[in-house]
Amino acid sequence: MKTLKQKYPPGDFAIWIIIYIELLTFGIFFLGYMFSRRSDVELFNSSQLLLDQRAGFINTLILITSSYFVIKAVKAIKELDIQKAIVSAQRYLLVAIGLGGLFLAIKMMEFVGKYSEGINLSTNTFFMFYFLLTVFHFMHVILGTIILFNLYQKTKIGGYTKDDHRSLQTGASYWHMVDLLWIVLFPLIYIIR
Amino acid sequence: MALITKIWMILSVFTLFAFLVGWLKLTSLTLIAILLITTFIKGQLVIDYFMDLHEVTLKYRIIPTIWLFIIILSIGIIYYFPKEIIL
Repeated sequence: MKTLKQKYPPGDFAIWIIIYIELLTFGIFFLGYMFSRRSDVELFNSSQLLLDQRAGFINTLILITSSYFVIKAVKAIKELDIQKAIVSAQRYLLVAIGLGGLFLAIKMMEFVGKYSEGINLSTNTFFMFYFLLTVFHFMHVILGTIILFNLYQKTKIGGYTKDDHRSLQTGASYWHMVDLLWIVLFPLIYIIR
Repeated sequence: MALITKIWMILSVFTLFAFLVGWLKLTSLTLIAILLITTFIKGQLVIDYFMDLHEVTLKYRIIPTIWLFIIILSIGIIYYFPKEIIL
């Protein structure tokens, strides 16, 4: 049976304007990285070897899993009875927040590690892009985690129902965008050589 | 098993594949092409099932898809073609 398509994306429409702008901004950086890489492939490849691919891999799994729990929270609110929905959504959001925090901790360890090795923004073009992209993304994860915490607080007091969960979808959409950006960023910076 | 759980598993398997390509330094042109295709699929799965755009009219759903397609395609073109061929 053909389902009727929704007219607008989930959540507030304003968040989608922000999401489209963010995608465009990161997209320009991604292409800038690739064009710069082409000018000095050896430098980019040798610098990339200094990154910890395991940390990048674990962080990708963390963000994917966090996004998975956020969508589970949204589905719980949309599909379950109110009391069960609140308990489940709260639990899922708490896991998602914890994973967001874990991502930040691992990334922070990577940054500190690089700085202690004397590597920073001005080391070379590769690291300029590495820090620009990952720090910019890092700030989005911080904001996303704060948003998730607010969603959790509102869920806890029963602020969302089957019929009224627009702000939950708004925050969730932002978090999935953060995930989407990292899905492209991980192979681009850590893997492709 | 719920659909989103299956999606999460696919995303995790593709992520493991990407990691292994990098970790084992498997940088053949074919594997990088597969890596880019799997990255596109991952992104599209997030757009459709996590962002929940698969139930939305095409004009809004297509924007992140076009973004993803252009980015992945451009990365591929810049990666595969030497400096002399494209600007």
